[in-house]
Amino acid sequence: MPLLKHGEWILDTWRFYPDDQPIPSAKPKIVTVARLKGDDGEFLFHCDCQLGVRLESHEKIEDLEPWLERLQLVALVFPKFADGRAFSSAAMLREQYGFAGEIRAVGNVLVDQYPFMRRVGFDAFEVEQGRALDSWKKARIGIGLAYQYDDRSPDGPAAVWRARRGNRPLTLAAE
Amino acid sequence: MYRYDEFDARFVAERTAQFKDQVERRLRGELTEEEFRPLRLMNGLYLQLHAYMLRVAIPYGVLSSRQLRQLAMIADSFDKGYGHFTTRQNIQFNWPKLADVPSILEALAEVEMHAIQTSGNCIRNVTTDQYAGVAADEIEDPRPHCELLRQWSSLHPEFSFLPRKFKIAVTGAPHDRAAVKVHDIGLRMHRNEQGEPGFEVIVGGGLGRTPMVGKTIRGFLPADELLPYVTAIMRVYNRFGRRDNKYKARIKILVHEIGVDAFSELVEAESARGDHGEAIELAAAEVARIEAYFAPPAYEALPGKDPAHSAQLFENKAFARWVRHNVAPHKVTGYSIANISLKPVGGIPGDATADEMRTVAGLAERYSFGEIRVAHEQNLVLPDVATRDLYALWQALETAGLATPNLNLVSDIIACPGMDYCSLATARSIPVAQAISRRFADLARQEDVGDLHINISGCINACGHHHVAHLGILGLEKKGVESYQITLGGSADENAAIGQLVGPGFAADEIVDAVEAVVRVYLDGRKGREERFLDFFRRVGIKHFKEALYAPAQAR
Repeated sequence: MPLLKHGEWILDTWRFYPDDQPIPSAKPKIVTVARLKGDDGEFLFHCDCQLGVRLESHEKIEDLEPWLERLQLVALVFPKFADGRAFSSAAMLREQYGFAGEIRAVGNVLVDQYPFMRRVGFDAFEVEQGRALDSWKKARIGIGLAYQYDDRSPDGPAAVWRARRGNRPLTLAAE
Repeated sequence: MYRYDEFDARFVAERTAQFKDQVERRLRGELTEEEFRPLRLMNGLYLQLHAYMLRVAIPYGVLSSRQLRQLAMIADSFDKGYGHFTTRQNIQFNWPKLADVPSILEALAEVEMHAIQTSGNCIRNVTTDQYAGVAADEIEDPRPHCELLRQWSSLHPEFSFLPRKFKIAVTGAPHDRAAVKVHDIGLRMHRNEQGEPGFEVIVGGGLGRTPMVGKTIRGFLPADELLPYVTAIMRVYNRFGRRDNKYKARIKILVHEIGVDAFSELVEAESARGDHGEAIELAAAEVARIEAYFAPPAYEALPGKDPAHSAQLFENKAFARWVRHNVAPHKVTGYSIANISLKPVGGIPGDATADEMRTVAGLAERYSFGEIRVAHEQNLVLPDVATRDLYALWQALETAGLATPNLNLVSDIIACPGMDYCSLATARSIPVAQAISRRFADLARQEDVGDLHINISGCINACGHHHVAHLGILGLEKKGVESYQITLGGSADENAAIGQLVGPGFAADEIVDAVEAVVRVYLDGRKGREERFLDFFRRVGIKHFKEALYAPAQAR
C-alpha cells in the first residue's frame, strides 16, 4: 500500500501482523493492542526490533500508556470517513504524552482530511491503491491559514493568532 | 461590529477557491455525488426536495447594511428574490443552482461572509442574544467571545468529524434570549464575587427526538479559560459520544447515559492535563483585539424622555402598539432596540424578499449605525435606534409592510421549512403557521391573549423548536395523512422547560381550531392579564387542558 511520509511516497518497511499471524523476531512490526497486552507482550517488550501498535478507533489511547516509550509507531484506524475519533487520539499522543514516533493514519484515509490529519500530529498516511496519488501532494496544506494555535505539522498553515501577535511571520509553506 | 483583517479575508478567500475547485470537479464528473456530498456539506450546501439549499452563516446574528444588501443581491441574482432567516440566526437560499454556488460564495466573501460549517458534523455557527451589547439587562457583552469561538472552531482539525453536529450559544444577560439551555454547550456570562467575568457552562441540552434541558458542569469558569475548557468538552465528546446510531449521537445522549457527574469528571480531568499557558495567553490577546471592534458606536447624549415621542405615542394608537410590542429597552439613555417582525399575517415566518432586505439595510444605515441583528425567533432587529427616531422608523416600516406589531404574541410563530422544502419533513409547517396567523389576525385579540409563543416543526427532528414553545406543534404523518400533536408549557429562556404532550394529534384541518381551543381554555381560566399563558399552564397543569380539549369529542 502506498505510504506518504514527509510529503513523499516511500517504501513501507513496516508490516501489520493480525493476531492470527505469527510474528517474526527481527522485522519492524505493527501489532494489535490485544497482542501487546496478551501472552506475546513480554517478548515484544524486550525484543530487539522496531515495534508499532494499531489502535482501533474505539480503543483508548490511555491503554497504551505503559508502552509508549517502547513504541516507535502508532497506527490509528479510520474505519470510515466520518469517524473522527483518531483525530483526538493523535492530538493527545503528541500533546499529552509527548510521543515523538510515527503516527500513521490507516483505513479509510481520504485526501480531504489530509490537512487536518497533519495538523493534529499524523505524519504518515497509508493510502489505498487506486486513489489519485498526485492530489495528495497537492492537498498537503489545504488552506494556508489556521485559527488554531496548536498546529502539529512542521510546515502546515500559518497560525493566525500568532501571526497577529507578530510571534511568527506569515510565511506560507511553498506549494 | 467585527471586521475581517487580512488574515480572516485570506482564510475565507482560500476556502472559497477550494470549494470552487470541488464544484467544478463535480460538474465535470470527476467527483461522484457520493464523494462530493461531504465536501458540499462542509460548505453549507444541502440537497433538498426540489433543489440545492445554501445556508449562509451570520455569525452570532450580526449583519451590516452592506452585508444585508449583498444578501438581497444574491436573492435577486441567484435565487427567486427572497431568503429565509433561520432559528440559528443564519439565512438560507432555497433555489441556487450548483454552478452558481461558487459565485455566491465569492459574493459573500466580498462582504466578509461565508457558509463554512453551516452543515456537517462540526461546530456550527455560534449564536447569541439578538440584543447582545445593547440590552438594558446585560451583565457582559457576549460578542467578543462569540467571535473568539467562531475563529477557533473554523476548520478545527480535531473537531470537524464529530459524532454529530454541535451547537454553542452564549448569553450575557440574566434573561436568556439565546436559549442556551437547549444547546450542546450553553454559556451564560456573569461575574464572580471579585467582579471578574466568566461563564456558567451548561452541557447536554438539545431538542430533536430526545429533548433535554442542559446541565451545569461549571458554575463559574474564568473567561480566560474558555478555550481549554471547551476543547476538553469537545474532546470528551469526540472520543466517547455514540457513533453507532445517528439519533443517539448528540452530546446530550452521552451526558444522559453516563450521567452529568461522570461527564463533568471526564471534562475536568481532560482540562487539567497539559499546559494551557500559551492558549490562554493567545486567546486573551485575541479577545482584547476583538473587543475593540465591539466598542459602542457614537451615541449622542440624549434625554431619557423625548416630549415629541411621548406625544406621538399618545396620538397614534398603531404606533403605540408597535412600540409596546416591538421595542425593547436599550442600555443607553435615549436609545431603543427596534424589532422588525418577519411574521406578517399569512406570511412565511422568517422569509424576507430582496426588496425588504434592502429597505431594512437602508433604515439601519439611517437609524441604527448601519447594523442589523437576526433573532433566533426569525425576526430582524435594529439594535441602536434613538428613541426620538422611532416614529419615523415606524412610518417607513409601515410603508414597507414591515411594521407588524406582534413580537412575542401568538402570531410571532417560529416554523421550520417543513414539507414545502425539506426532505426530512413528515408534514407541512408553513401553511399551519400561515393559517394560525390568519385566524388570530385581529391584533386586539392577540394583545388580549398576550405573551404566547407558538413553534411548529414538520418532523421529530424539531428544527422548529416546538419542544420549547409555550404551545408547540409537531407535524407527523399517520397512514399518509398529516397529523399535528400539541405540546404545552415549554420554554426556551432561563427557566427552560420541555413542553408536555397534551394528547392525540389533530388533522391538518383541525389544528387551528385546536390551537384556538387551547387559547380559549387559557382566557377562560386565567386570573387576569397579569397571569401569562405560561404562568397559567404552570398553575393548572396539562390535565386541565387535556380535559378541555378532548372531552367534547368523547361526549359526541
